[in-house]
Amino acid sequence: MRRVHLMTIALHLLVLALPGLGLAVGAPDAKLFGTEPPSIFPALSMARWTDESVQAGLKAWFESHLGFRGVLVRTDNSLFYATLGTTRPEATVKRNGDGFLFIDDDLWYAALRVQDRPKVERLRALAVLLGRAQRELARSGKHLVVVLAPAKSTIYPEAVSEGWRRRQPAPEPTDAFVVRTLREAFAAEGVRYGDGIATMQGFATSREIIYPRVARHWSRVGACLVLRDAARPAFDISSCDYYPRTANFEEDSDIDLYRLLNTWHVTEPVPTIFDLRVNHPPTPDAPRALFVGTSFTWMLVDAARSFVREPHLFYYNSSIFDVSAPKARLVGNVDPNSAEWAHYALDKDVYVIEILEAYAHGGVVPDFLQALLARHTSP
Amino acid sequence: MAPARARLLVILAASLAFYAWGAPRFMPVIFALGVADYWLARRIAGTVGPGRRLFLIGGICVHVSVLAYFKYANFLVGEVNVARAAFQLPPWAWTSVVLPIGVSFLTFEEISYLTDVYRGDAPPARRWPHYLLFLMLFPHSIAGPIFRWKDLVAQFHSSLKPGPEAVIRGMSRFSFGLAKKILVADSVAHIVDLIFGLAENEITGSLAWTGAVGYALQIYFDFSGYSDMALGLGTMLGFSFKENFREPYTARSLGEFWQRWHISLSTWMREYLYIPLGGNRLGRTRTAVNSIAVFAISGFWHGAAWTFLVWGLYHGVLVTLERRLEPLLSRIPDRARAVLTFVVVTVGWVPFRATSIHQVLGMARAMLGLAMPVYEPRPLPAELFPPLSAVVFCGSLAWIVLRALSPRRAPRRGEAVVTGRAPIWRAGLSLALLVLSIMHMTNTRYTPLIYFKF
Repeated sequence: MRRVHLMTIALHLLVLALPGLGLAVGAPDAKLFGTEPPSIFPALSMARWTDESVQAGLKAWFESHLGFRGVLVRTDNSLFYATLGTTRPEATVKRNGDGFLFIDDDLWYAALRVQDRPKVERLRALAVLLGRAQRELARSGKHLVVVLAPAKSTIYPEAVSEGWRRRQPAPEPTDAFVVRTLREAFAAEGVRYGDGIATMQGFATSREIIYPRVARHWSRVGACLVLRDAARPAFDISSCDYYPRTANFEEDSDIDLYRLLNTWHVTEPVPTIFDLRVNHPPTPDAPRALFVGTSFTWMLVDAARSFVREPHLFYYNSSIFDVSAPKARLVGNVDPNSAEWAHYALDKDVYVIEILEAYAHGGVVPDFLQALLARHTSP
Repeated sequence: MAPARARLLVILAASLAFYAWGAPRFMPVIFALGVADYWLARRIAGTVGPGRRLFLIGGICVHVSVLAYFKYANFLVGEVNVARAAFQLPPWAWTSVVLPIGVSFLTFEEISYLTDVYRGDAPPARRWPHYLLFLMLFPHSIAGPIFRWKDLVAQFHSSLKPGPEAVIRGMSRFSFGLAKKILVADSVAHIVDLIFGLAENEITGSLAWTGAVGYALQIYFDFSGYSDMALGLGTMLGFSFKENFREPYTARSLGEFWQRWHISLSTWMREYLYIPLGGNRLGRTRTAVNSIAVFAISGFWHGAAWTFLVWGLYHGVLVTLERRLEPLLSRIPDRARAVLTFVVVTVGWVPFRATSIHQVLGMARAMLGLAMPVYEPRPLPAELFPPLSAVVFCGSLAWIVLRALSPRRAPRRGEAVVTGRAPIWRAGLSLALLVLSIMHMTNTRYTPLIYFKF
């Protein structure tokens, strides 16, 4: 009996000590997906110990470097998913319907209460600014290509489960309200744009080709179809032909939510995705392009890369990326007062502005356009 | 694993390290108070005549002042400034005081130490490290139980050598406590936090009751979980601490509830406040006043806010009324009384959890069916009741109700204490819960963004 007792004690101590031991010896671990702010080992000093900043820093560092963290997180998520068929309440990925994965933003957007919706005035102000920018840039021979990107809950309304719906729906759902308001405002201001919602809802073949069920964003195929119509006459996307392939589990954006589940994925195969066939260098006379928008812009970049030169991306109008190659390169931060900004923003022939339906009331596009128009009209 | 003689010093070193981690700025204060108490207690024990009482009163005043400064000064200045603003006077300039962990528990332990020595219930500490260990013993630093010197002094002088069965019992207790906190309390907290975060015009009656019941579950599993962890750690270290919770929601009366909930606090209040005030020896009116005063102080001890005072007064008044109405109440069947007691206690948790008197009134209106929400509640059903929280909420409530309605049995102190053996299945369950708790804690601290955003 004593041996059993000692073994029990040893097992408990092992379980408690294992994460720390794993950290100490650098034990191999399962990979976790998603990004976290970097955690740096704090500088040690008596003053920082006394004000408890060392303790907070050590705790954050330890939690992010915990041994076997990947194994623990994946196992916990897998048990949860297997028993309850969904993700933890604090997870950003939610499972709805028949294996559809949504980012929580999309679900909250679809179920916004009337008083929490984007204000009509703000959406109209966006349209006014876009109209003005299109006209001003056209006078200089430049193009402003506007693309309206859909929220996933707009494309797959039937996949949003009852628990994520308002019991007392407003006269029109939030997505219908936002899209209608934007369309009316764009029409009133003469804004030329690619209507991603109409294009995707009108897609005759399976929606999963243009918006995978386990993706945060539209696919490159979906982005290509929307951009192709909006980009003429700035540049001509000759083809959006696609082909099926097995996703690269670690990199493909078309399964990003699937990856973010951070489970062991033992019961579900990696989904098939659809990719664009066109992939060639741009011609020497292709226009120089700047893309501005949210994470949906990456797919627009992929769709346009064969048809534009020197492409850069102002990601959330905050970080500047060189996107001339599939692997983007961070080259700076957006500062409209800097010479760097002028170099990347002004020496372009075409500007592709992506407006995500759920964030249309945000400041990303207005801030960029106001800075551009201010510098563009300067002598 | 340390030699017997050094074991107390090792535990003290660990306790000091624990406190230095959590409240480094407060360490000099604890040391100073420890030295002061050590000296005072020896003076109390060694003095004859009125001087003894003076040393005791002086010591109590010092400790109450320390508590008042660290815990209540911010609140007091805040309320004075609210009053000054009403008369358009400029606010008092004040730099907020940081509340050190465990200061409320420490104060009560220091007062009980001096009082026990004064009463002759326990000798003063032979060595200062023993007293310091009594104050800072790390298992109970964060959330009690409140120790009494007279309960622990003999253990400090014993060999403190736990056998393997005791270590396993302690480990199991710790694991169960951790699971109660991490797997149950934190899951229910999701629902409670959402509900109590709603604006007043978003609260329906059913939401208010759900929030109240949810908090009753959360605070029980959270607090008793912490106590289990403290007792488990103590057992592993060779100590024997008194139970702090005895299935409080099975109580058949409020009076009984307070004999089962946070027992160390109730005991302290009774011995060091209620009885010195006269207890129930000075007539019905004075007994009622004493009761209400003690509960009010107890409420305010929990937190520097009017809501805690309301909670204390709520219990004080109801306990007093219950005593008066006992002949009538005793006719109610046991099970019905258990349900009634649970409902009364649950309603009482609302001011304890609420962040303002305004919120207390809003919740009360909703619970009475008097609220008319204008807007639809913000959280969606799937947000409010995600599967895990819903399962844990319903499961823990069902368990509480079943225990409350079950026939009473004699308190079971555990087979291990009686037979000296810890069942293997219990050890296996303990290990499984420990693994689940660690996985859960690790996972909830991993909240990545899908992509780098800025």
